[in-house]
Amino acid sequence: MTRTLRKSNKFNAISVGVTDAELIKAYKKGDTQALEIIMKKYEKPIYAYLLKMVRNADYANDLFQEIFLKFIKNIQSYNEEKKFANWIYTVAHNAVMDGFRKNKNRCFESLDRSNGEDSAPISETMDSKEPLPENILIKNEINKKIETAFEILSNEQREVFIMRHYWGLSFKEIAEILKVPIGTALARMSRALGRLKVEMGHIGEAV
Amino acid sequence: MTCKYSEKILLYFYGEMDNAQCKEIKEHLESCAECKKNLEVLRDVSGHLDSFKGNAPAHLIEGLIREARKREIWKFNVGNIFENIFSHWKVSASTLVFACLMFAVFFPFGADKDRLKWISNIDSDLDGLEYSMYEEYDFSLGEYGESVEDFEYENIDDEIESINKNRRIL
Repeated sequence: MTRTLRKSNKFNAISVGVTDAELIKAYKKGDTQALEIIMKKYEKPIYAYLLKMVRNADYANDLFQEIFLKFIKNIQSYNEEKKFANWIYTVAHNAVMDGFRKNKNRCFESLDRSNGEDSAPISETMDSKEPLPENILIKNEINKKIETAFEILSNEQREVFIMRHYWGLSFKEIAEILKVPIGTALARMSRALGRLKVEMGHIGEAV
Repeated sequence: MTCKYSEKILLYFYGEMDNAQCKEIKEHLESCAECKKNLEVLRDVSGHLDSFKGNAPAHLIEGLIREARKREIWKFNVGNIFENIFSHWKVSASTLVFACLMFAVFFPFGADKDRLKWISNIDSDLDGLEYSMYEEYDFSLGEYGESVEDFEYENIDDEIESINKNRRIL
């Protein structure tokens, strides 16, 4: 396994369907390229979740490092029979919730106003495939409004939305990570949708 | 949100329903404006979330990989020794017992000092033995019943003389 990973390109390794369990086994044997593949695989869902939850690039970076360091430090005791995605997502969820508890009174600036080295204005963090400048402008404006509407949601409501979208977990899996009944997870998202609908109704009129 | 289908719309949108349930939702959507609107909002928000580039800065990944490599080096240099000791504890334990036995046999407490002295003088004793053997050896007779040294030197002298004779003739 280790030999196969070393020979192959990391992106090929993902595309040929190397499972998380195999990657972790390889990493346990000392293949750091396997770790790189795992990180590349989970980088986007985890980082997007963190950014959307804490809305501060510097803080999201800290949490991102914390989550993966936890993985690196505890790799030997990690049982690869478990579903890795659920494990890492649970670690991410706990890290964010701990952060919220610790920084109860701390008010983060939103991504748009953050001046961190890696933070970018919201318009720059969006994929704009529209060729016409006015379309880009409208799309950016809509995105900005949705982003603002997202900020109105409670952490619990926003989290279910983000978990379902970026992590691709079923509501059952989300409920397991959150340690709540599936009905609660669905109700949170349903309420979130209701609030977004109200906010976006105004957006529709404004734009 | 008052429609009883509001949560089912979520399951429908994210493909968590079987065909029969999907059919039921599709039928409901034809008559429910509220759920239709919800579906529209879900699509818009999903589009927005999809367009978000959530890639972590490259230096974060690089830093974590460096950290992992450092740990690997430590693990191979030091960690593996302990790991091997603990994973092969039977072999380790028997090796330790054997080493203790050897120590007890060859380095007993209160060892005889004279015996140790004799052991330390073993080299000089062997030298003496070698010298006495050399003295006993008869070097006087060579292969042809002559002194080895004389025989060799005589031959050399003869050779030198014959060479010189040849030179003079030339």
